[in-house]
Amino acid sequence: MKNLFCIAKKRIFLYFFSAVITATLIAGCYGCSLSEEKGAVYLGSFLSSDVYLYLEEGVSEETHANLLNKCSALIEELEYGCSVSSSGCVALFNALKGGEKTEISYPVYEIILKSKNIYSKTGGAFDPTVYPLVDLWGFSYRFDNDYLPQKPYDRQREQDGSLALPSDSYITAFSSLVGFDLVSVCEEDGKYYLKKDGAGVTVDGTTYERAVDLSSVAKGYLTDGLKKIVEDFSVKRYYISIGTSSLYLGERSGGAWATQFVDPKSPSREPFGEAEISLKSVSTSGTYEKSYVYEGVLCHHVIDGATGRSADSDIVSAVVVGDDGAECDALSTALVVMGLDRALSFAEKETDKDYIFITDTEIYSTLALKNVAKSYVYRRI
Amino acid sequence: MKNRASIEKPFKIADIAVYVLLAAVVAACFSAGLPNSSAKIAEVTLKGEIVARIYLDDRRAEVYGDNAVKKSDNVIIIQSEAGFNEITVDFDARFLKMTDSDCAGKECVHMDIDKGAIICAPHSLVIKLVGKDDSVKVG
Repeated sequence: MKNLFCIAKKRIFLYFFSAVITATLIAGCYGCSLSEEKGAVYLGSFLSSDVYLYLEEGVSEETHANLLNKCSALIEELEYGCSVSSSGCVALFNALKGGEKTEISYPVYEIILKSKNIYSKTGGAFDPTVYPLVDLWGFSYRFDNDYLPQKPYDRQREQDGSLALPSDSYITAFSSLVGFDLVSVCEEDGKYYLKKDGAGVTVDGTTYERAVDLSSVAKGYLTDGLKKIVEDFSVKRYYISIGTSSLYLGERSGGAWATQFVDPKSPSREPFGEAEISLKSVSTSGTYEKSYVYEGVLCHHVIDGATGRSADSDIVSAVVVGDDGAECDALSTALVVMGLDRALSFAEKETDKDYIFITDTEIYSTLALKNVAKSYVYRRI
Repeated sequence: MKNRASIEKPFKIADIAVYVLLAAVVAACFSAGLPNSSAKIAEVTLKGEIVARIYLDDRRAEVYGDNAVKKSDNVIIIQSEAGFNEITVDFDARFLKMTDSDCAGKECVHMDIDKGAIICAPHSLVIKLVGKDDSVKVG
């Protein structure tokens, strides 16, 4: 009888102990995932694009809050500096006459330097001074939401959302304002300045000055800045996406991020192909992103400074993968302007980056793509 | 000796049964019950074409084409020749419902997305859960 009692006591004890362990395991895991923040975090809006941070690893509530604060602060600072519509340094610069200069922040100074680098590497295909033309053709921020004609050259929106073509006199005039060579930076006594050279142009009694828009390079630059902030918090497994067109992909458990490239021809944004990418900046530009057709003429936001019109390009979309987000961003725009032949030559020479060029029927890629859409001919380059 | 053996044996089987049961409970919790493990995306198709995607984890919705419009961050209106449908999303609960329709019968308004799909047959509109998409979209 005594033996039986001992055995029973041991059994009860073992059951109880196991139940406690099990409950602790469950509660511990449940509690862990509740107090850890992960997934998509909305960081703010930058130059009309949504900025998201996607955390694969969980962070504490405190880290999450600090991260959000630092990232939001950077976004606000850059938005103010780069926006053509605020009272920040770029907006002030755009209002200057030839021969004048204005103080700029260090980030804007850096963006201009990187822009100059890509301007020269691409033979001027990337040129921030196309801005007056971008506005003329209806692709600046003024046309993002409820557009009302304000400038002498503005046209009413047609029923289908298109705009009548601008007159040749404006196209010619604003083309004369293109020329990134006439914009220069300098440093004096620890301050940075942006200087404008060259005269403005007068059309129908109104004078227009040379003006820059940094939105084709600033988003990539912002991903570089956000990356530094995230990694300062020792977070490694994440990615940053600005409007899905400028990204930084960090690490991912199990390898790299399955990156799907949106097919320009798909209304529901299906991918044309997929690649595994990590620890790289990715930028894309395409003629399909913002466009309209007026009387059979396709007008899109990638303006060719050499012609004063939307780039007449066989490249519908270009993707650039590299280490510097600002460079990738500027290059993706330049490559669309350059067209396929020049872009392929560029890709052959500048091998520190990876490229994907999509035309109406073909995909050229230095990256190995999988699940390639059957409507394209896929060529590895 | 014989008595002791015959008393102990039945207990041993019960022991194993209890431990197996506990292990099964833990396994079930890991695979199904914990938050973040059943992330969802809802795809809305009109006549077979995708017109909207609702990322229930990421708290955002995307609309495509001319038939779908976001009335607000969590309300989508689908308008086609067949008729009108309104989808309301509760991102906190990671849940969505068909909150209005001008179809005859309005059966879709009473359907539960967690059963897999909401179907408005007269309008050829289907909302279904498609499971977590961990890939990054570029473009």
